[in-house]
Amino acid sequence: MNGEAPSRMAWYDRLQKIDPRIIYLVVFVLVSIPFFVPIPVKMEVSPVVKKLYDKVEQIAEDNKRKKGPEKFVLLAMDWSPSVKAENQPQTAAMIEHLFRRGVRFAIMSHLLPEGPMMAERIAEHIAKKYNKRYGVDWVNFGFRQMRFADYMAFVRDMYAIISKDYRGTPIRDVPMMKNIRGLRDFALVFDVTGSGAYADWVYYAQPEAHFDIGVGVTAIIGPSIRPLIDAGQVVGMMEGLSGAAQYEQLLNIRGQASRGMGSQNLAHLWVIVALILGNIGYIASRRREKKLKKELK
Amino acid sequence: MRRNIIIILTFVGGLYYFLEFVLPGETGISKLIVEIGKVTLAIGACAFLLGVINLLRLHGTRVVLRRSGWHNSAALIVALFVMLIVHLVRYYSHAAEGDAVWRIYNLLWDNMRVPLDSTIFSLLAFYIVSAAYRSFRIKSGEAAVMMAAAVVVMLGQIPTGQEVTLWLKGYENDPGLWWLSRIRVDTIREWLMQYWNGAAQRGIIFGAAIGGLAMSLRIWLSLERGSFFDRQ
Repeated sequence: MNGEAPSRMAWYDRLQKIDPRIIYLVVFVLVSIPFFVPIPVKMEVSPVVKKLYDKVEQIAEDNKRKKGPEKFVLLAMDWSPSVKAENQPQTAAMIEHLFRRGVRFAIMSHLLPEGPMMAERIAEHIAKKYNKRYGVDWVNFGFRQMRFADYMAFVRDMYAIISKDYRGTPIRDVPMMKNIRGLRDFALVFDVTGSGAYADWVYYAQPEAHFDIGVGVTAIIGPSIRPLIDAGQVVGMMEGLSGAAQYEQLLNIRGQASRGMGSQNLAHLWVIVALILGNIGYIASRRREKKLKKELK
Repeated sequence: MRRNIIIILTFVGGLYYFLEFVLPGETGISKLIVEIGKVTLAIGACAFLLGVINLLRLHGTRVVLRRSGWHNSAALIVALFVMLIVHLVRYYSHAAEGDAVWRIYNLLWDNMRVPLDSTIFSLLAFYIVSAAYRSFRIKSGEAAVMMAAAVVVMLGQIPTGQEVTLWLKGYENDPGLWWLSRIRVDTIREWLMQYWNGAAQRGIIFGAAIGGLAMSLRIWLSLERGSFFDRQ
């Protein structure tokens, strides 16, 4: 502007000041590649994922051997479209496992009306593959606004809180419900969420109903579950897309999570590369500064 | 008078749930819990209605008075009612899948709500990469440890990262070198998450629980001066 030649930025400064648009573009390209070129995904299964899988297997085996009354699984679908990328594959993997092993289940949400609706579609889709029928092999309780102490009422008398299913049928007319006396007939509550919704099940319902709790959570919520797993309050979890991909691997299927992990794989590598580049630039510039100071002295 | 009634109701309500939770087995007061549960469910449902009324008051005023951004408020009101009406018609008409109302509903839900919601959330991926790149500098020993942990955790949850040290699994049954199989990226990640992160999370949970207990006591005994009492 003022006639002076623009000063050239040193290489270490360039490394520290990559244009954000370039960073965004690289993220976009890397995330998109696996949509066109599928990347094979093979992962080591985390112990927390394996524990969850084993719990479902145990319920299935107990039901098969008729070890006590039939046990069911409650899918608490406390998620909305915003976290679909992580929570939908988790839901699909769990439903696939339950249908495959013949464990009957119920869907509900105490937090978000969208959850049961989205889970219903997933269940309907997978049910066709296993020839399962609504009302016989699974039921949808829909959305019930419950917080904190409401769980105590829900544990005592489930039918007082849920009078109709998601489709408007009186709940006692649903064939599967004839085998369910109350919440104590559920051996596992699997809460899928992108929030702290699981905590209500842990703190208010579990002490009375004594079921096990498993969770499918977004990667950002995962760390807060760890102490609960250590304490035995949560039996296992699918943590983010990676947890769902590991569960799919245990089921020997290549579902949404396994396909999505290709994108996450490349995106994570780019984060690490970007961090390294920025820090190489930072360290080099500090060395240069020190050298200049020495020369000035 | 009004204030005293609220104080008494708050105290009795809190006392009831406290006793119900701590007293072992079924007690005389246990029979009430289901009825009270139904009432709180109804209150929860009313909160939705209050939410809609509040939205309409706030955004309706903005539209009527043509305040700045009024067109956004108008879009919100239209979207709210269109979705509400279509959903109610679909539900109560018992329309079969494939009917016009179902098609409109799917159009609104699958082609608008779901992509919009997912798009907003997925933008985070772009910002997180950019923010990590700009702010994560090894300025001290602590920062270096944090960065190393972050890199291990990231590598440990992606297939390529796990692949780097997967060959060490071969030493699992070697009596002298078994320990090599424990220093894989995925096992170190698990160790960091379960023990180091777990300890920190436990501390946070304890702190929050003590804070929550103190806050609950203040509300229960009506010592908390909220917006309601301040206006008295």
